[in-house]
Amino acid sequence: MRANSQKSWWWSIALLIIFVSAGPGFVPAAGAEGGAAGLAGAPAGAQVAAVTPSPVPEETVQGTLEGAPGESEDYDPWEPFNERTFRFNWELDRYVIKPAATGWDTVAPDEVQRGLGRMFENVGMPRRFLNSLLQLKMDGAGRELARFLLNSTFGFAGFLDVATTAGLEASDEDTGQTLAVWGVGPGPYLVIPFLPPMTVRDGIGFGVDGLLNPISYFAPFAASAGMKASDTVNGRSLNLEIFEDVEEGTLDMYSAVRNGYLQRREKAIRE
Amino acid sequence: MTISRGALILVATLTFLGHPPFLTPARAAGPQDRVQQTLAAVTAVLRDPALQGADSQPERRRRVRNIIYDTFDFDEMARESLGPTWDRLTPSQQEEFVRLFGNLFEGSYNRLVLRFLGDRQATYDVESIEGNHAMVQTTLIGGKEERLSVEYQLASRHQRWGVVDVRLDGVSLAMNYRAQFNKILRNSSYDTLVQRMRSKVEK
Repeated sequence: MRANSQKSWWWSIALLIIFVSAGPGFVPAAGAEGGAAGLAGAPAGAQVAAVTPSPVPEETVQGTLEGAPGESEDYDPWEPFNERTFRFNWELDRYVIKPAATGWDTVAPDEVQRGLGRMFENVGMPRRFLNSLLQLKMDGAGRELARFLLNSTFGFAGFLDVATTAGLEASDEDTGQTLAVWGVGPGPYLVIPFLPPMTVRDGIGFGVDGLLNPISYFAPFAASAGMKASDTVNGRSLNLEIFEDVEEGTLDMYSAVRNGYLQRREKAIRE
Repeated sequence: MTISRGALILVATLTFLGHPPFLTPARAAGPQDRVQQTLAAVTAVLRDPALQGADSQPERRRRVRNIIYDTFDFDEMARESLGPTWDRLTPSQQEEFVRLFGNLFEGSYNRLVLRFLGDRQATYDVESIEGNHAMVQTTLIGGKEERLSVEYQLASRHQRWGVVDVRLDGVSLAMNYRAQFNKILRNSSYDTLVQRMRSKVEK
């Protein structure tokens, strides 16, 4: 139990080191949506000047676009590293996760897959509840608590989502969003092996969210990791078709995933 | 001189015939109407009993494509997606790019949205209009709690609303393609971009 929380803590320290070394890439942005400004809309000049050293020439960040400089160019000063890591993760998905998910999709009925997904979601209540409070979204915090109580009892530990049927909609707050609401800039886009894409701010949030996962306090590390892997495979099995649909229409997967992630985060922060 | 009742009736009748409401040009469809008509037309094709089965797939696809091309303003979308590079293209290059972009976007939209129209119900949640721009928010509701939020951005050109972007769960397809084009243009060239588009579209 202590070992698991220590691992998450060291991870947060590691990302904090990245945070510090990125320097003023985390210049607090003005206003509640300031954190989202860096995702796709912040002036390239401020972003480029803030991150030192940056080998990225200005025209790269500004791109070849009309309108405000950098307006349509996602902020990614570590693109060479990120893209290599992305390729590794993509191959991992292709040769390990997707086959496992396909096999699971074959043997497990859709309802079982969805139910398991809901159980994993249910366990994530502390993260959503706490971050709703920290963002002063009392309605969301109340709903999360009520959803957890309902689904854990009448929903068989979350396998059934009786709360939504009762009119209690889910919220999806996390520490990365809380930091954005508090005015912390997103920092550079970052791809880490074995993990989904993120910004450095979201990476720090991810580390903190790990500390809020109750499973990590009660299960040995191997069991906790196994559950995470199961969650990943199960989630992948629920999205097999949409992944293929997206891939079929994409010219450059790396930039498509980056842009899609940043747009979705911006939306989540705004909501 | 008094005007006879008959003369007044005659004048009124001629006035009415001169500006008959039934000859007034029909009001152009609003943004939500445009989206609604498009989705209804696509749904009709997908549910047409005469177009079911694998053999009818090419015809189904052709009809849906015609509907999309009638609604989406691919000229505008293609120009926006390419940014300043557009101005450096010859007219024939621009024409080819619009064609390729339209095929690419239509394919994605078809795979990610239209394919599900046959067995889902579309609800129209919000419509907002600001000058020549509008937004129509829809939700596709399927069985088993499946919901897909689709937002249409429209622009009015020549008094006709055309779709210029589609957002799926907050992700703009046009912006996403723009990001891809930017990267390819930055790291390679316009020719490489066109080559990749051709490969994708002609697959």
